[in-house]
Amino acid sequence: MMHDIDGSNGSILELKDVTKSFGGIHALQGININIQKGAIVGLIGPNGAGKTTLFNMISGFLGMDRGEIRFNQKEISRLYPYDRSRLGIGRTFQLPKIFNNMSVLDNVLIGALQKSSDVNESKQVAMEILRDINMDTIADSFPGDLPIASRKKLEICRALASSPTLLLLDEAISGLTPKETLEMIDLIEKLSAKGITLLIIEHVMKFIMNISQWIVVLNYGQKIAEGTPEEIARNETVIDAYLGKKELSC
Amino acid sequence: MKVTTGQRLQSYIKDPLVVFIAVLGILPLLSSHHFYLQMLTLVFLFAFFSEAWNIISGFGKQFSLGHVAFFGIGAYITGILYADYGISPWIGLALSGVFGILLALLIGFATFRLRAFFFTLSTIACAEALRVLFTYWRLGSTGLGTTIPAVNGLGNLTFSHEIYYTYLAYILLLTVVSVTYRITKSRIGYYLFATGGDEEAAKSLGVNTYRIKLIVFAISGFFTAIGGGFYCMYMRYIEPCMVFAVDFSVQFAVFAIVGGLGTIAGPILGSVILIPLSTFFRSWIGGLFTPIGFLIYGIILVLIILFLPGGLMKGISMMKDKIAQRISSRKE
Repeated sequence: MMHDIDGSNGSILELKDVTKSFGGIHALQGININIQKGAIVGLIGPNGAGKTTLFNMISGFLGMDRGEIRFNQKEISRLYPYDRSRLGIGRTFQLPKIFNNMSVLDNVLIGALQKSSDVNESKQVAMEILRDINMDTIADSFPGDLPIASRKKLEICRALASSPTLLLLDEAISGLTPKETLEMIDLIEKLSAKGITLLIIEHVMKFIMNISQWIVVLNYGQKIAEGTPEEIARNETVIDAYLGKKELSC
Repeated sequence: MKVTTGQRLQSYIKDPLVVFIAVLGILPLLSSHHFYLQMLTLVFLFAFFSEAWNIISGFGKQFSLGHVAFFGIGAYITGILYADYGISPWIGLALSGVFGILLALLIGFATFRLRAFFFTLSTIACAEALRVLFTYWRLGSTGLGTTIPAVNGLGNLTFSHEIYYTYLAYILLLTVVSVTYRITKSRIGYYLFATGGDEEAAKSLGVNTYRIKLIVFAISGFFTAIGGGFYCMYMRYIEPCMVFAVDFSVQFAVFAIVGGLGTIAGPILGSVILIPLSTFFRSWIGGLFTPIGFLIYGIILVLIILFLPGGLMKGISMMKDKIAQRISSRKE
C-alpha cells in the first residue's frame, strides 16, 4: 500500500494529531496524515477547511496547539520556517510572494544561496533552473509586471533553487488559462520526476484528480477522507460535504 | 577566469559611483575658504550618516526614525571620556562603535520579531528615552552642556584647519560606502533585500530574517555611533537636546529618500544637494526672512518626493533609459 499511517520508512512527512484553534474556532482538529516519499498528494476541501492553515503549520509559519509533525522521521514541530526550509521543505503561497525589489534571476538566487554562500556560483545555479523551466529569457527583468502564471512559476523556481525534497504548492493553477494549466502540469510532473514529493492545495477538481496519486480531504478542520482519486470521487462523505454531486468527471 | 588587478581597476574607473565619489574627494582642494570647507564637512558627514541609515532602512526596509540614539550615544561616550577623563577620542570612537552595536542589538532583539511598524516606534521611543535620561543625568552634574577642550593634535582629534575635518569626514564616508558595497554583493546583502522585499517568502527560502536584520542594524548602529563621536569632536560642544534631537533622525532619512532609498549613491546625492540648499536658505535668506527660506526648502523637498517617488537616483536611471531609447531609435 502506498500510504499508511504506521510511519514506515518510506514516509517523508507525518502529521500526528495536529490541532489548532483561533479563539473559539477550531481550524484543525486531530489531523493525521502520512505522506510517502516521491508522491504527488492533493489536499482539497471547501473554503475555510483549514488547508492553508495546515500548510502554514508544516512550513513553520504557524504553531500548533497540540500534535506532532515529523519530517524524514525527525520531529520538526518547534523549528522555525527557515530551519524547515533548510531541512528540505519548500513552499509557495496562495498569492505569490515575489520579491518585487529584485530581478527574476535574483529572486531564484535567494533560494540557491541556501546551499552556497558564493553569489556567483549560486547565480549560475539559479540561471540553470530558469533555463530548465524556460524562464531564462526574462532573467534580468523585474517581476512586478509579470502575469500571474509567470509569478507562480517563478515562485516554484525560487523554491526549487533551495533543493527541497518536499514542496508545498498552494493553489498552483488557480487563475491560469487552459494553456498555462497544461504548462504547469508539465512542470509539476517534471518536479515529481526529479524525486520531489509534492503536496498540492487546489480547487480545480479536474486538475487535482488527474495529477494526484493520493488525495486528502479536509472539511471544517477535520480530515474527512483520504484515498486514491477514484476512491475520493466515490466517497459519500466527500460528495455530501464538498462535491455536492454523485459523479465526478476525472 | 581570474580578474587581474588592472582589469578590476578599469572596471572601477568606469563605475559612475566611483567617479562621483572621487570627484567629491577633490572638492576640498578647490578652495580653502572656511565656510566652503565647513559645508563640505557637513555634506560628507551627513552623507555618511544617511548611508549608514540606508543600510538597514533603505536596503532592508526596516524604517528607523530613531537613529539619533546611536548618534547621541557615540557623541556622549567620546565627549565625556575625553572632556571628563582625558581619554583619547580615538579610543572614545572605538568604544562608541561598540556601544552602537550593543544598543542596536538591544533594540533589535526586542522588536525585530514584531512587525516593522513596532520597530519604527521603538527606535523613536529609544532615542527620546535616551534624551530624557541624559538630560537628567547631566543636570545633576556639570550642567546640561559639555564643552570639549580644544588641544590641537591628531591624537586629540582636534585640528586648527577645517580641511582636516573635511577629509576625515570623507574617509568616514568612503568607509561606509565600501562596507555597504561589499554587503550588497554578498549573501547577507541578498538576504537583506529579500527580507525587505517579503519577509515570509525569505523565511520560506531558508533566510533567518531576524538574524540578518540584527546583523545589519548592528552595522548601521556601529557607524552612526562612530559618526556621533566624530561630530562631537568637530562641534566641540554637546548637550542632550542637541545630539538626541529627532531632527537628525529625520534628516538621515530625508537625504536617503530624496537621493534614492536602497541605492548606494542616493544618500550621498541627497546630502550633496540638500545640505548646500538648506545652508543657502539659512544664511543668504537670513534675518526676518529665515522662515521663508525653510518654507522654500520644504516645498523643494515635497516637489522632489511628489515627482520622483523613487528619489533622484530613480530620475537619473529614467533619464538614462530615455537617452538610450532615443539613441537606438535614431540608429534605426
